[in-house]
Amino acid sequence: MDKDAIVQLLESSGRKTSPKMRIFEDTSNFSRIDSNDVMVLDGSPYLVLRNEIERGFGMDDDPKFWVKRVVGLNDGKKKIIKLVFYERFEQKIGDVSVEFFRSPIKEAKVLDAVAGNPFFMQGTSVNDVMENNVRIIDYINGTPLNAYLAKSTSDHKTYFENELPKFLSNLLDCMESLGFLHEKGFVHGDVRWDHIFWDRDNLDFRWIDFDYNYDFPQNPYGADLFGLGKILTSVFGRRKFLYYDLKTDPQFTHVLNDLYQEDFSLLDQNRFINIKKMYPYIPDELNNIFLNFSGYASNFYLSVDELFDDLRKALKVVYGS
Amino acid sequence: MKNRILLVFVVTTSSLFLIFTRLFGNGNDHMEMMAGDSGKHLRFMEGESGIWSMVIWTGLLVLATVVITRLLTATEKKKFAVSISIGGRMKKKQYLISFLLLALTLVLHLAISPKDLALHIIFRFLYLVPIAYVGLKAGKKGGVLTAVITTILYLPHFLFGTASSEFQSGNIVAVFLFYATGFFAGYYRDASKKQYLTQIDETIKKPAVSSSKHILFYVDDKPLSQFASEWFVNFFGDHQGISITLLWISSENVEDILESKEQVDDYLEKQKTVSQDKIRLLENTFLASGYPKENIHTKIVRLESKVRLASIIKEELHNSSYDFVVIPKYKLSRSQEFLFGDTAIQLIREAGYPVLTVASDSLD
Repeated sequence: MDKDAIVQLLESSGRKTSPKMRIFEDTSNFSRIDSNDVMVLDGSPYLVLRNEIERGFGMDDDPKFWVKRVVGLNDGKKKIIKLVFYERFEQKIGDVSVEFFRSPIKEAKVLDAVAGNPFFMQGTSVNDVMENNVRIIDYINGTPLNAYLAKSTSDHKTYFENELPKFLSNLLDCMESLGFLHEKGFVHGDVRWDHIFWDRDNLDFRWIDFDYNYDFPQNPYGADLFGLGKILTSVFGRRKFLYYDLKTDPQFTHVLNDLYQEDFSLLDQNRFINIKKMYPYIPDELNNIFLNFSGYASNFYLSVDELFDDLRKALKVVYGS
Repeated sequence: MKNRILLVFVVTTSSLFLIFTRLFGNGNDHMEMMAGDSGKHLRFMEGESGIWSMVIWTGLLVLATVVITRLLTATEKKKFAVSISIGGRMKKKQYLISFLLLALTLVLHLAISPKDLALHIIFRFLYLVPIAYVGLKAGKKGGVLTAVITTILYLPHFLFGTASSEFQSGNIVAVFLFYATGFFAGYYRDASKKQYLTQIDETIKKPAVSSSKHILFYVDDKPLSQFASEWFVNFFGDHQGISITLLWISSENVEDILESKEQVDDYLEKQKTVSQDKIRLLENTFLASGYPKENIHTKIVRLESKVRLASIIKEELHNSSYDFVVIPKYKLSRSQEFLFGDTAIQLIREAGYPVLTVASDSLD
């Protein structure tokens, strides 16, 4: 596709053409590709709007240069384009050092595997002229789960008893669909609450970002399950609780007087798990599931099915359905 | 106790009978028979009293046999009979044969005219046949017991017969031979049985045990696998019939992790080398300790998707007939077990098979 055709498409969509606009068919050097540039992938032009930014680690301003928010010039739809970026790094989880990988190929395979599944982001993958695997993902008009939960301003008891039941079923269906991914032989790789998006258009929760990978042959889904445990406690607690929060928030001072190391996450000793100590009306049946991720645990969940079998039973006790 | 009384009864009755025979036998016609140079007479069971003697003698023999038979048939319950059964238990048919042989010999021996000295001497040694027979069937104690019975039956002839000293010497030798025959025939029988049972143990029991030992041995790339194999051969020692399958699970799902095809190929090649080296190392451990090469098998499972190792091992256990699985057990913190998993623990919980875990403080 030549520059004139692209300019024509831009004008027909009512957009101005930047005099600095560049056209990229080779995406190897993704840091050079910036806003107002156009990427041509598999014959389709995409106007780059901006680089996406990393969220969730308190590094909100860190741009992810390999992830571009774009608009398709053929159909005018917003997309997220993820370019090839291999990364291999060690991450400390508690006292355990874990090696993670960022794998474009893996994400492309997952996109194929979850095509049509409403609980996962949707997209396709194409190769650019240099055979780089580029993923073109449908933009989700929504908000991450942490932001979604933060909107609730009522007291926790009201949230737990009245607000949570309204979206819990939908959310749990999404979380449980991680088992579907595992059945296909894939891990999510980066299970966090900000990797579940509330899709305002389709009224679904969806998993996003599949390019992380790890390799634990003895427990291939261990890290995903650990992530699910964290999300569950955050959902039922409406927020995540760190030791710092307990120390500084006056409403939790009573918890400080009755605190044991076992009340915290088995892997992340800073993260508080035993939320019944804060909210005594949380039934044991439910809280005991959270404790399987805490220092009290002696048996560990090995699959999403195991976890959700217990969870569904507990929820019958809590909400009666 | 009851058996002993019966035995005393038989012996007493026999003795009384002998006296009876002696008393009534004296008044009848004599048949004189020269035996050797001593010129002494042998007078025994001749004429009318001789016939009565024969009848009573036979009756007594029947009674004795019935008593003895009762004793023998009570083998399981009675101590006395147990001592017989140490050498072996006779069947009813064999009791009957023993009885008939003894009765026939007795009748032949006593019925033959002493004039036929040669036949008399021959028939005297026919007693050895039932004794040897019982000895061979029932063992040493059975043989000696039969010798005792025969001696009792033979006693009147031995004690009260008037015969030359040479003939009496022959009788002494005969009685000695009764015991010797009973003892040695029985001894031979007992020894044969013992040897037979030993052979049975070796030829039947051992293969039966060994054929059931088919062991799945999980191998990984860490030194603990090698340690486990060395511990195994040292501990179990006897390798007869033990069949070992070395299972290596190769995680080849690396295309999603590595950046290029070259890296993937390089990784797989290294994996192949590592697995071959490791398996060869363990094979050598088993071979060096005497395991036959044909009893060591290798199985390599290539994983191209994310499946727990425990699931693969479990599947292998269910698909083939293993007796148990041997697996290295690493020392992990709970957080390590939570995140990375512990195949040994998972197998213990899920396999439904015996799982032998081998751990070592120094190799964790």
